[in-house]
Amino acid sequence: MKGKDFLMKYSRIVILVLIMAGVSIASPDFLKPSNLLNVARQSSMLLIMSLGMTCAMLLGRGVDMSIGATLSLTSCVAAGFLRSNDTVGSVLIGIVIALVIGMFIGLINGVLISYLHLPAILVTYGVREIIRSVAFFYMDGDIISGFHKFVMFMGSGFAFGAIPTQIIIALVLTAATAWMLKHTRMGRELYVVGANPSAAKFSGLKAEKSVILGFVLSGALAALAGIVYLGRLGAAEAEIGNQFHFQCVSAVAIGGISFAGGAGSAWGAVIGALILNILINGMNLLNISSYWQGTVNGVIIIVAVLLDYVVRK
Amino acid sequence: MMKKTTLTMAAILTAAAVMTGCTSSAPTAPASSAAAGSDTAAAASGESYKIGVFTKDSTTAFWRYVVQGAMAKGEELGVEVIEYAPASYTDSAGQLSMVEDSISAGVDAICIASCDSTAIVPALEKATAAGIPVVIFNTLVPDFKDNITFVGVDNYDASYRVTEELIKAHDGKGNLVILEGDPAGYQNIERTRAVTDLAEKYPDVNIITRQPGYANREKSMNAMENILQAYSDIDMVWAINDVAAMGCVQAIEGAGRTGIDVIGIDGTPEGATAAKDGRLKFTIDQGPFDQGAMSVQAAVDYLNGKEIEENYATGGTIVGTDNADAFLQEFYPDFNK
Amino acid sequence: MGREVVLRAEKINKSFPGVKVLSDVSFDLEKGEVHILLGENGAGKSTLMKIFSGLYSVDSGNIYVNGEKVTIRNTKDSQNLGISIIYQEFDLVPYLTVAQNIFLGREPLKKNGSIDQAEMRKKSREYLEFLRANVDVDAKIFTLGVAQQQLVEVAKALSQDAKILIMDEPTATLSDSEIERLFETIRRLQQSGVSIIYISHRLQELKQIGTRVTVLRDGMTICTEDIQEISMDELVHRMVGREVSQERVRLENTARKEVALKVSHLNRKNVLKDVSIEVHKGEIVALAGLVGAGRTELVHAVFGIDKIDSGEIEISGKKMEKPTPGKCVKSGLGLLPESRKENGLSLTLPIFQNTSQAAMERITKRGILNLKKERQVAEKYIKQLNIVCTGPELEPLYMSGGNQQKVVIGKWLFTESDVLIFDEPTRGIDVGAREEIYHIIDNLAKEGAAILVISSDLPEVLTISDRIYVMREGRIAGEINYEDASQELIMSYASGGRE
Repeated sequence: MKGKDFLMKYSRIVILVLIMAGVSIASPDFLKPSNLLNVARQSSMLLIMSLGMTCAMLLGRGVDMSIGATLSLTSCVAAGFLRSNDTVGSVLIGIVIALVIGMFIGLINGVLISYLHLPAILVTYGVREIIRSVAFFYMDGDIISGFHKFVMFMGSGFAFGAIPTQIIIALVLTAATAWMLKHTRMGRELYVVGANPSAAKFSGLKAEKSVILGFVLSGALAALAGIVYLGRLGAAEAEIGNQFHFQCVSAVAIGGISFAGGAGSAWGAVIGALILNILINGMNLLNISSYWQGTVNGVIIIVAVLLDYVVRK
Repeated sequence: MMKKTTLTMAAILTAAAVMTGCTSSAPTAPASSAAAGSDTAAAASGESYKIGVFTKDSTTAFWRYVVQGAMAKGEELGVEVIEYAPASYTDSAGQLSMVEDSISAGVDAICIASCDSTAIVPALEKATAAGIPVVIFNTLVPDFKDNITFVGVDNYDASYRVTEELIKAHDGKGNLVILEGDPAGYQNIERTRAVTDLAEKYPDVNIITRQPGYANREKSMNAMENILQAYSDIDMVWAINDVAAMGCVQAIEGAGRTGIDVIGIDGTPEGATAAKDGRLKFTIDQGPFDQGAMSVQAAVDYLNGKEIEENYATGGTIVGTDNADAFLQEFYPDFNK
Repeated sequence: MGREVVLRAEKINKSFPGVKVLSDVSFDLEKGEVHILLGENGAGKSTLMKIFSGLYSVDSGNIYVNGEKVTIRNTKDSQNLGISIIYQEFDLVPYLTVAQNIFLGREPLKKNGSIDQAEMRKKSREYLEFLRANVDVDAKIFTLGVAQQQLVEVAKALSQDAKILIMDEPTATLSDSEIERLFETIRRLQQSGVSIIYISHRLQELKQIGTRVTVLRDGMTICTEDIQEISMDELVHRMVGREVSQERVRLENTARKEVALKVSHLNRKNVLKDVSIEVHKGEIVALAGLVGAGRTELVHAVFGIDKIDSGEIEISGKKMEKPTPGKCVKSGLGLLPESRKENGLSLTLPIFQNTSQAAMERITKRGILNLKKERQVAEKYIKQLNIVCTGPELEPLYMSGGNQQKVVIGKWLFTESDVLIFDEPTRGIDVGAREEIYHIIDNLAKEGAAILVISSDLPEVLTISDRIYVMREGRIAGEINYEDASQELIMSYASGGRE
């Protein structure tokens, strides 16, 4: 019985290694340092978003469909602010603005889901549509570009010479999230409320608090991703961020999140994001049509859900 | 009891979500140039016509400029310009409904840049049958023969000119990457055809790969990053438009690669600024303001019984580092201020 | 009422893993009689009925219907033999109509294969008329009251040509006048040749409707008598009178003067009626009664899980306004719920995350968890409570019922609560672990905790309690001190034999 858990824990790393081996055999370009760095870079954005998704999904209420829209709105509003303010200090204020917006969206999600007992997937879908419209109205077709170099540094710069800053930011956020989930009471309550909401209630815990927290964290991380994305794309558009939630669900699913709640980890999200991007990278290197990427994504989600269901039986 | 409430709320929310999704293809608050100085202008043209201007989407900057040009012309001529645009250029069905709705609403003329040049045909035929003149701008609709004129850039031409400029700047040789848009799109087919023709004309130019970025910044950027991995020797990158081109530029700069020239099409202020800063090699102006303005002009002239041309060419200026500043000053003085 | 035997069970034996539920049970049903089946919870009544209705198979023994030996393999076999059962929670589909429910799964079809609605409604009307039921065949079930729904169930049984009808606690949710009408219906059924097995705890009505009565206890047939020839007291005695009684664990009554838990005039519509109880520090009070008497509902109301209409709750003298579980825990009240797997434990989280769950503030400093301390706490209770596990990181999912319950106890011990409520603490737990739990509870009381134990196991009640409240139909039917208590006395309060 313990063996099953051990397998669960390390199976993902094993799968990661196997996939890397497979892809590098199929395409020698894979192991080129610049390619690996590229994959790591592309995984960074997905990873930050997946951290947020993990926090939300730990509660077992369902997925957060609004993260892509939150990313878009926060990056647009921050860009709007940064357009006319060009100092490092204003970059920090821009980050704060983005966080406030992201957390507010998360708050709305959390309140509707916890107090009104509405299914998360529907609530966040509705919120997403609203946020999208807000972003469109705000940008009114504009593109904002040309940011302070600190922003660009975060998104596409290199620290210590050769390491892309995005990766460092993503890893720092992962470590912070992992620490929070394991070592803080509020992080623990996410697991407890998700694993068995009824037992949590009978233990005197308030589920609403944790549900709101989970979605606020999701919004906050999407907002941080929004800032990094500004640096990565070099521009803000209302249309961005559409691809993310499906990839996120795949990534966290591979990473071991249980759709029923109560299980999952920040480092699991790392593995999930990496595996997903390595598969996509492999397909690109082998010149497999990008049309297949949707299929791969879909198959992964289904397999992950099935495995989760089977293992839990 | 709880289950019932949850189900009802879920149903309501789903309906709301669906409706919100639907309304995104409704006309974005039909903006019109309610003729302010209408007395003089109305006297001049006789009556206040309603001109429907249909752009591909309501969110991309390019189409905002088209609409600005159209609105300005509308004010000048004393006619009402109504804008119709879906939220995304992929929503051809939405645009079709808009055309039909505008016919019911009694527009006097239709100026349209179609999202899908095959799907839109039946709607345009309805317009003609209702006696409404149709101006096609920006993107040809080959299967519809009854338009009164075409306003805009010949896609093939524009692509040809700016690409040749790039090739010449490389002495007629080098490795070229095509970062195309939607492979099935008419505009894409025309624009890329120019590139492949040029590659034949200049035998020392190699098209080493061709990937779709769907005219989307993020997707183009991702595609470019992957291409950079696969190919160590790239000289030139052709992108379907400025937005895609900027995605490529970001990818290249993000990877720390140098010596690659990227070109775009559309002449957006973002592209021009990038050209000014030396990040983008060339872009070519499509003349969005003119596309809007001249379409309206042609429509109104037609309604007033005047003779109009078969084609009105707009834009055409190749924007590079030398002339970018002047270009920006002339057309987009307020950009990024 | 003839002597013809329509249903006979002969020496039925049935076991489930680890427990023998029926031992050599014999039972017979005469045509046209109302045969009452009596016994406390766990006596084997429902198992026997499930065997008749095809849900369980027998390990050994024979069943005869109308004199012929039969094998009932599934519910269809049972129905084909003319046996129909009406459960306490009706088996009706709320959003379908009366007619649709009566013929559910057996709808009359037209030649072309579609449902013959007219025929369905006509026949339904016939059955309902026979029962003198004032029910519209097109009414949706959820619009009907309980008594009417019950009549629909009877009509359904009739439509299946039932000659043997089993009714499980039919009067539990009916008003007095509705009970009268039901009895009239039953008499009518008797006259038309239907034989009825009638399960009920409500001793006061048995003489009105019953013909004979059979008492089951601990899976054995104790006796079968003519209802008119046996007294209520005698019946109660047969239900609970045991030769061997459990040894008393609670040797000393350590109750103190101070009242730790005081509940005054608690009311909740249809569930609790003017309930008042008290538990002193150092005292173990048992809450006895039959299933459905309202005991769990009472403690859920006290703990803030369910709402109340009126009444007061005081914990250690402090009045609780609008209690919530969180507030209760902070005030020193803990509850070990009846469903330990659903409500008592997080099965998929390790033991140490369970033991800390109700008192996380004790391992948290400025928002940060002291994981080392948390583990130590778990290890302490593993040792103290003799929990069998591979270590504090094991998930309770893999543990036996007894050990799971010990984890729950550990959780509440960690809260250092002044008042603890145990709801059926030894259900589904082996004898060895039971003993351990009794001692744990005894020790807690000795150390000054106020304990309230809900238990349906009468010997258990007598093993550990100082005082006993008996609940019946949502109210306190009686209060007994241990010295005066006996199983018969408790049961007679619980079933209305004494009022």
